[in-house]
Formats: sequence, C-alpha cells, structure tokens
Amino acid sequence: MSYANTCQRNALGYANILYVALNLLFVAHQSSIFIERTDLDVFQMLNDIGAAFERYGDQSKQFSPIHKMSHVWGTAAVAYYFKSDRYAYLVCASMMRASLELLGICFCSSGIESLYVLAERCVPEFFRMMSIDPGVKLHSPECLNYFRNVLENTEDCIRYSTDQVHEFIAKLFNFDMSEHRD
Amino acid sequence: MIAAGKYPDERTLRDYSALQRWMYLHSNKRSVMDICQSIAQMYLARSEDYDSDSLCHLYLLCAEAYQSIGQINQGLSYFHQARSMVRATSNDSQREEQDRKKKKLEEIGMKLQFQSKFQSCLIERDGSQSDRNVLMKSSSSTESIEQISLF
Repeated sequence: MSYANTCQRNALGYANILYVALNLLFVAHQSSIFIERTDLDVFQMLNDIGAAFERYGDQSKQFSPIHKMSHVWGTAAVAYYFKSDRYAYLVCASMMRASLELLGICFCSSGIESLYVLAERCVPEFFRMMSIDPGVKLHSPECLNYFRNVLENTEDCIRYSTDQVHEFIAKLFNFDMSEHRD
Repeated sequence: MIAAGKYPDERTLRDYSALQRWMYLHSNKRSVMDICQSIAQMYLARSEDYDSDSLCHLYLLCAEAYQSIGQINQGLSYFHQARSMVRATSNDSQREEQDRKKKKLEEIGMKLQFQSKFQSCLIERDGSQSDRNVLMKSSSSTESIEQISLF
C-alpha cells in the first residue's frame, strides 16, 4: 500500500494497485482481517476503488467498464463472505458471475490474479462459482438472472458501493438494510 | 447508444487508437471472443483484401483482447502474427508508426509472459509455498506489482 501511495492518486494505476493490495491482505488475514487490521476500513476501500474504476476507467481501453467493475464486485463478495453477510455475498458474487458470462471472461484472466489466488485458497464456494466456463449459464444462485438483466440494460457499468449492495438486497430479498451498519 | 456497426470500418482499422476505442465500447456489450471471431471472419481470413497496416492493427487488438479474458493461447497466436508483420515491415518513412506498433507488441508480450508464469506457478505450487509467493514468484520486483495491476 505504501507503493500505491507513490502513484498519482487520480490515476487508474493507483486504484489498481490498491485493489491488488486488498486481495493480498485478504489472503494473509482472511476473516480475521476485521480484528487484526482495525486500521483499515475495507468496505470504504472497496467503495473508493469502485468509484475510481468508474471515474478513471477509460484511462485504459483494454478492459470495458463492466469487465473492470466485475473485479471489484468479486473482491467485495469475498469481503462479505468473510464478514458472514450472506445476502451481500450473494449479490456481489452474482454480479461478478453475470459479468463473466455476459462478456465471456475466464476467471483466470488478466488483472485478477490476486483474486484468483484468494478465491482458490480461501473461498472454495466462490471459486467454484467463478471458475466454471463463462459460456455456461449457471442456475444458482437464483438471483443471477436478475443481474443478467441489470447488466444487459446498462450502458456503462454498475458501480460497486455499499449503498448499491443494500439497494440490491432490499429489492431481491425484501430486506431493509437501513438500520444495519457494515 | 453504441453505433450499430458490427465491424470497425476501414478508416478505424488504420488508426489504432480509434480501433481500441471501438473495441472498448463494443466489448461492454458483446463477448470479446465473439467480437474477435467476427473480426477474424471478416478481415483476417481475407487478408489479401486488406492493407498490412490494418491487418497488423487487428492482430494486435485481438492478441490483447484474448489476453484480457484469459485466453492466452489464442492471444499468443495473434501476438506471433503481429510480430511477424512488424518485423517484415521496414519502411523508414513510417518510423513513428512502426515504433508505436513495436511498443504495443512489447507490452502485450510482457502481459502474456506474466500470465503464463503466473499459471505455471499455480500449477507447480505445493502446500508449503505461501500464496503471496505464488504471485511474487511470477514477478520479480515492485515493477511487477504494477504488472499484476497493469491493464
């Protein structure tokens, strides 16, 4: 993370490096990250990365907006998994899976090497879901279809944020998250 | 709304930045593989009909695109095609254009190399090696951290 701080803040590169650092931190601490690293607000970091990917995304033309944002949704899924927040995990994992299916992206692909290792080692359920050939349309979780529709009707991308996650949870699971803190 | 054209037009083919922008837009809606296969069908399979600049741009574009979705085998083949074309052209009057292509080629080569090292480390990893080592072994310094996060 100190390496990240040597980069220009308003550049995509900074957000990318922060993204990788976050995945590596999860590999190191797993679910204990919330106890061992109280100096970090992991969900705020994810919000910041999501915002940066959206704002500065077109500094790199190699990955389309949905493709890039899917990376953030993926790490967020792992974060919620470690937090034992099942609904939020399902929302984020489904958003990433729907993106991979829509655009034919393999889980073992460029930019998410750190997430791949994290999933393979620490979250087998998530790894199983993402590593199935993207050409295959999964049947579960049930909310996947909802996210397929959402993505097909998006011009740009659906930015990851904790507010967005709560909105999806409310819509899908009729669950009002407004009293819950992250 | 994205322009209806399923294929980049001939003017776009000759301008690599324009081609990249075209791909950036279209790959948000259609699968990259689908797009590259259409491009291959339309242009690469009829290479006699198109100028070498356009073809080289398409090979570079597809190499990078396949690499971005994790299909490095196909990416490698297109990378080799692009490399042969760049080597075959030694037209001094288009020095700048040549240099741009070489730079792009180098960049794609680096990314392909990194990904293949990463994959080979994952395969040979045993239980005793930590996962951070897997990522670090496939790179060698802090520049590589940039590579991991480089698009």
